[in-house]
Amino acid sequence: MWKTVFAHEWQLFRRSKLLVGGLLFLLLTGAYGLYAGHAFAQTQRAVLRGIDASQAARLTKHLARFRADTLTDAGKRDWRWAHDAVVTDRELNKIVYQPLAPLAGLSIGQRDVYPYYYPAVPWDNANEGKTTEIRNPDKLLAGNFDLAFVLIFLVPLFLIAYGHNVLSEEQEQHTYALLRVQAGSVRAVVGYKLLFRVGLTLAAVWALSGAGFLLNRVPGAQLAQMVGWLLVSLLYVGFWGAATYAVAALGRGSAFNALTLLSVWVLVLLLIPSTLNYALSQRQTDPESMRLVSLSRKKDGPWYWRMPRLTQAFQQAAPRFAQARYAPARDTSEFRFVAYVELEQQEKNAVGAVQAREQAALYEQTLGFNLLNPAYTALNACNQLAQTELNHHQDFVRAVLAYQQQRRYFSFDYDLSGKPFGRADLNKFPEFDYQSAPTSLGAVGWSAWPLLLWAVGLALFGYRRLARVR
Amino acid sequence: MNPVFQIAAHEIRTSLRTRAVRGLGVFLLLLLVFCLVAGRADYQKAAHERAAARQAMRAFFLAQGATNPHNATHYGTFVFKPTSLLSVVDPGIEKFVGVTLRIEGHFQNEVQFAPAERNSSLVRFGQLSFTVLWQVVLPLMLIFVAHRAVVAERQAGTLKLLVAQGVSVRRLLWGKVLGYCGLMLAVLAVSGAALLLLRSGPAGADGGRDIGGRLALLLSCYALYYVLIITATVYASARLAAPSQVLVLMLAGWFGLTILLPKLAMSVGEQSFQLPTRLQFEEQLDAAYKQGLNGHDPNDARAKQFQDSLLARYQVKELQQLPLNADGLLMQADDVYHGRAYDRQAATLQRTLARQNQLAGRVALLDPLLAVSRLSRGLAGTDIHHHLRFLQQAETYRRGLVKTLNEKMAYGGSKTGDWGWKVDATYWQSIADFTYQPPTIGGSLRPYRAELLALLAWVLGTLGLVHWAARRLSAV
Repeated sequence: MWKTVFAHEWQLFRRSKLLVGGLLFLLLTGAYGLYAGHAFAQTQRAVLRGIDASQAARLTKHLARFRADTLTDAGKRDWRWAHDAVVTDRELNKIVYQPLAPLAGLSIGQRDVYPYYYPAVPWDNANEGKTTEIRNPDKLLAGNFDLAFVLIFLVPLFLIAYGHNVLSEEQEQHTYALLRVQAGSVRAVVGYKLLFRVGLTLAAVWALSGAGFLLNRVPGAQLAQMVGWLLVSLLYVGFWGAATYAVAALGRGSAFNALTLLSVWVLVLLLIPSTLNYALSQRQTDPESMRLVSLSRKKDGPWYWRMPRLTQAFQQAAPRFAQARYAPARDTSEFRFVAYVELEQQEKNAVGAVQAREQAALYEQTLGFNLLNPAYTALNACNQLAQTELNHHQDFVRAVLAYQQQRRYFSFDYDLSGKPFGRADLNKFPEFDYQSAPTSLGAVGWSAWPLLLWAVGLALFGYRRLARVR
Repeated sequence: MNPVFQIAAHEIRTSLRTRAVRGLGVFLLLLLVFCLVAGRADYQKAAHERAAARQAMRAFFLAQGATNPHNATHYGTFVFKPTSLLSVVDPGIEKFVGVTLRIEGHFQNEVQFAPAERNSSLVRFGQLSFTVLWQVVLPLMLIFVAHRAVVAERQAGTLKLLVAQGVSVRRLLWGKVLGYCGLMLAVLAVSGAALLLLRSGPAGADGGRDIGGRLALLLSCYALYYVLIITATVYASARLAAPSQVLVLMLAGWFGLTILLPKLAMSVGEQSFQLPTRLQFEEQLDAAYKQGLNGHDPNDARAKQFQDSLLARYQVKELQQLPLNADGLLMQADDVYHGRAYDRQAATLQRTLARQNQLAGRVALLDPLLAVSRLSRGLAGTDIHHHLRFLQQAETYRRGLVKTLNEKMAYGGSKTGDWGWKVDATYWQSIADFTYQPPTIGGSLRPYRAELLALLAWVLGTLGLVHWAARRLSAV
């Protein structure tokens, strides 16, 4: 029977200018979403290439200092700088960055808001977030026009327009009685009809997703992530398909169905997320940012301490420098500087860690409401695949902070022990090899389970309710 | 009684008798109460946090003790963007811009700690506030309530009866429009009255000034927008054959104007006029700084030129012979140069921002909601113009503070090279704290003249449409 129903549905679809126009509109907005997302990703990739180029140029410039003419004042300064590990670190001005995941162009998430690169010189601290990209706040407020937006906001509307009358049109055209007599099961006919409509919508989404994979040149190694994306879109379209089925099964008129489904759309896409956003933002406090700021206000900080106190505090904070060879013979500006920087960084890291824990806890609470928040569930799953969500940013910041400390200790080692720093030592600076692990299929499935639960629940409700429709 | 008013009164009575409308009304009322209570709490929390931060930073500044004045410019201070009282109504861009700005010598820092940077992508769905209600929910409700206005009369055959009784179609349409406008005004009046309670709370960035006027204008803008929606819905209801057609058309329009077009306009704007990246901006600034005067570099050629000019002016051979501290003047010349270089870069950046937003402003001619939302942010003090104004005032304060301190170093009684010279601990009391001055209502509206005109044109256009097209409408 399904073949007959599908053929009939296809004919009806082709004849309806409104539906064909709607599908074309969906594809067109999807194509623009792909373009805008891709353009965003390309811009950020260009920035990252620019960072690589400027790093290479700085290295070349600094290497030249090893060959400086020490007969001139400038040459002497250059030679001195080249043989000082901390100054070398400053001059190289190492910037570390978070590469874009291949699917980032499909779901920009918070990637446009979070800083995605940080300087790693000894006195910079990633917790201060000074490298936030220049963006138009009006644009940030309006949000991103990417494929995830089209999937989450537009696709349900198309499905509502296409599917709301799946049963009521039979009643309104007075063909329902015929259907009951001729078809073995009304449930099956309605089910197949809706399946065709959901299938057509899903085909459009998958076609757009496929185009997105090609446009963003997602490598074959990301097969699991691509399958994950298709799975999330299947679950989300399935959720809306099941909602349409449940409302249609109430057996009311087309106008009622359309109004009910649109109310559900407003509730799911606008009211629930914005209310939860408000409720959760109330649990957020700002004092940690203030504490970070206050740290720079101290007039009695480590810089002003007497040597015994400074030495003790520094060695406690960085035990690896407690060995005798690092102990300062006298109050040198090098030691004072190193100890000051280290103690200040550790204090900032402690405050930053509290803030990060608070953010992570808030994110966990947000996820805890996913059963009530299908739209965010879908967006979060997309962002997990695109690695553009808060947890990815926090992973990156943690890696940066660890690297900042590693790099600091590397140059402090030379500065404090008096070990000579030469050309060969330049290559020994630690490298930042951060690679975010791609989100596995299992993790995506787990994050999107509320969609499956809703879809199954609504479909079961519809299936049972349909038996009562006369 | 004028038949138009009779029809309007009848429409209001009929609507209020409808269970669905009453249900929507209760739902809306609950949302309004929630937005008011939640928004007020949110505002008070932000205002309290920022006031406490400001107080703490001021205390740090005053307690810095005896210090060299130029060293004090490096220590600097922090200023905080105050929150506007009407952010309860429209939070605007507040979540996406920083609130903390470090003020120091030689450098123009960026505002830090935008709330959105600490959040997951849930923040992109927006926050339930009056804006969501007024821009998204209420228009939908008006469409739901008004879409059957004429088409239902026609389907039930009562339209023919009314016309037979001498009621013209035009009067019928005006009556319907007036009736729904009455309902809408009741909702706005309740909202306005509730919002006036805000005046009893602590004052925000706007110092509580002009709140009544701003609120009245805000409500008027939204009222105009709703008149437009009601008129368009009633007209569509008169022209189309079935309620479902009216609903589909109006909802498609609502979706396009509310969700799609604002996002599209900003997205196209961003791609058409690209902002420099942070790195580009800083590299260009750095290059400009390097071409100029660096007061802290003893080998800097321009610094030497500046010192030579001082020697020539005072006709002495050594800087130490000057009757002032040349280091203070040099530091000031450095800051002035940095300021000029920064202004040039910042002006380019702001021009690009303005171009992006101008594009949205032009789209507002096609999208009345975009016009209303921009006007709403402007009146609430949560738009980009207020943010830029805060930055400009903070920078003016920074320059004034640095100039005062550098001149204190120059003329306060020390000699060139005397970096150990200090002002006494009480000196800091003489330096005023930063206070943000918000614009007047006129100043807030000035950037949005086109939006205001577009909104009026849309309303007049749809009213004209009903008036002139009514004669062509059929009662059958």
